Amino acid sequence: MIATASAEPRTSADRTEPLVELRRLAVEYGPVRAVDGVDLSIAPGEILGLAGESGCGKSTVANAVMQILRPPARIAGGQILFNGVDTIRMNREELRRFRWRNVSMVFQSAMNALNPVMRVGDQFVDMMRAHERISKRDALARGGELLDLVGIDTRRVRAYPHELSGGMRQRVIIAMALALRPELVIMDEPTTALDVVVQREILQQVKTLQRELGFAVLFITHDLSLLVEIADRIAIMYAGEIVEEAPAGEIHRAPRHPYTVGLMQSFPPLHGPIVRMTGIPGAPPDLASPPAGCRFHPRCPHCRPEDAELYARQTTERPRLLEVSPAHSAACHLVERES
Amino acid sequence: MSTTTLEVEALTKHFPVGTALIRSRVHAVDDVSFALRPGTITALVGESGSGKSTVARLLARLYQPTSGRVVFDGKDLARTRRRRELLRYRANVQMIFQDPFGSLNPAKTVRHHLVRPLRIHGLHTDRIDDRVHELLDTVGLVPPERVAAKYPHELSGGQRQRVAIARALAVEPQVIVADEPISMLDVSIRIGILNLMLELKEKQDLAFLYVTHDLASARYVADDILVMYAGQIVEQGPADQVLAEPLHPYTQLLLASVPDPSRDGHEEIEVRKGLAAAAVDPPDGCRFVGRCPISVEVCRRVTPPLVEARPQQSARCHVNAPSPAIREEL
Repeated sequence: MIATASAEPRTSADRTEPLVELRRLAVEYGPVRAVDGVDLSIAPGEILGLAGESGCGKSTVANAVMQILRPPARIAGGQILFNGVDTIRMNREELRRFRWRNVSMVFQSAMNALNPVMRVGDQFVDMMRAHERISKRDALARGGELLDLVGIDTRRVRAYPHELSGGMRQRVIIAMALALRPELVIMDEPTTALDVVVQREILQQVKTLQRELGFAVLFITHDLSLLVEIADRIAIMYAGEIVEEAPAGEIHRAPRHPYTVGLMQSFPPLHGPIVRMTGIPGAPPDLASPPAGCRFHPRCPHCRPEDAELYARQTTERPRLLEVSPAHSAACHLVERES
Repeated sequence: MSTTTLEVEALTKHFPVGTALIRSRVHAVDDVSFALRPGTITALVGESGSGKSTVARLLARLYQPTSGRVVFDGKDLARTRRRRELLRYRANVQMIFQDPFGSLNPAKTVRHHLVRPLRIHGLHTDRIDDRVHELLDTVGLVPPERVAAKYPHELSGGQRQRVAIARALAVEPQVIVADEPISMLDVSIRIGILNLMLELKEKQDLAFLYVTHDLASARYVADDILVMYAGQIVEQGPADQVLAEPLHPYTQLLLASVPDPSRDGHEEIEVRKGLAAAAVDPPDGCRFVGRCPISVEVCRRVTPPLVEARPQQSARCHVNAPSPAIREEL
């Protein structure tokens, strides 16, 4: 049953159903649990931002959705539903068709993923012929169209990667990711290695393309201010868990989780008075032995022994992700008590 | 204004490229002048390849300049090879690098990293451990006795960068050149390092050159700002003033490109293709002209000088900061 459904996952796109749904996803690297019980959904055509610091598990989530985890990483529990089909149970051939056709991915260093001794156009041809019955000529023509789509001169299909700037190479990768019209494009820090002006150009282009072609995006970055601009909804990860999730504007205007508040406090503003900011004291925990209770409690400004009852919960009981207002949830004992 | 600690005059660095027949030169740094004053942080901002790190390396004497002067304590040290003078200069001008993982020796303890500069420069040899603990305390690594015995791998990125800062402070410098000191650190701990720089500037009257591509952090810590484009300083002035009302179209473009959650709506900016990187044998004229939305004919012919168009704020732009001669021509 699963096999028949997964053969045609694209047809089951019902607009009211989420495109991707993670249920209690857990991923382990040996004894270390890098992703621990993540629930997340992405609607068709939505840009979902996933933010957090290095080591919080955000890239592991991306790799799990794309089904490209490699040992020692393994999915230790939960489900990854794509149009209702659990991709964890797909076999090799199903996965081969699923990747790139249904979900594609742009990495941070993707611009270095191009083969240096192959012309850009030939790399398009290779990729397309691996997934479709298409003549070399047609594939090359499509490659040219796709380059045009991301603002690169069509004639550049004849260029070698070293003849292109970093920003152009990253756009080539984005064009490749869009080649088979996937329903979801995962972008893992796609602009982190680029200068701000180039970053701005690429983000504008992604947004325009996304409006035209209607694909959904899972956008992963540590740069919360960038996400607030580009994403529809934002989920914040800390130490392998989602700690807050809300529409992008609301994360910016009214963050509830102390970690999100701290993150927002870590980006100095470009306007207004310059006030001394605090950031977040301490450092993210070692996931081999995460703190008991709320994983953020050792760094949390609201975790004080004076408030004995709250302190007891914070240090022993894991908070659950609860809705604090429509479409806005947070996993925090303090927020739970207040609401 | 207080006195100047370090003065850079018309600093220029060209790198030769090409073959024996076709000799070209990359103008990595061209005619750069600025002064660092005690108790101030000067931000040097620009994109990759703009020459900002080359300026930092020239100040640290990791490169020899093609021409220009680096004046410290009344002496030009840009090209001196005298060991004693260099040692004294290096004790006074210390450097902090981007990568806190690569700049510490993994086989040595924190204490070793702080003792070495003290020994090399012959300081505090009698009460060396007191000094080590004092330094760790200054950069917020407590308890110092325990931190001193740790190895780099036992520390987080932020703590390692604090060790690097403590090491720079060990020789009691007057100037610290910090080259992208926070860009490899986790977001939540970056502010801590910036706050430490602010604290050191206030308490120890240090002069900082903060090299960065991050305008928001430059605005947060810096008193003055220098904006580099293709090897030249295209705008300079008080940081808050320059970032509130930039004169140069490149500064305006940079500012409009920075992600800014408080911006209303998502107005698109028009970006013209081009690179901020250093040019090979650049012709006369403004180096930004190909991307400039407001350029006029003269911009292609004459290299604009830095002109103080507003009090303390200067820019290399014939349109927004014209020199008297150009104003006449226009």
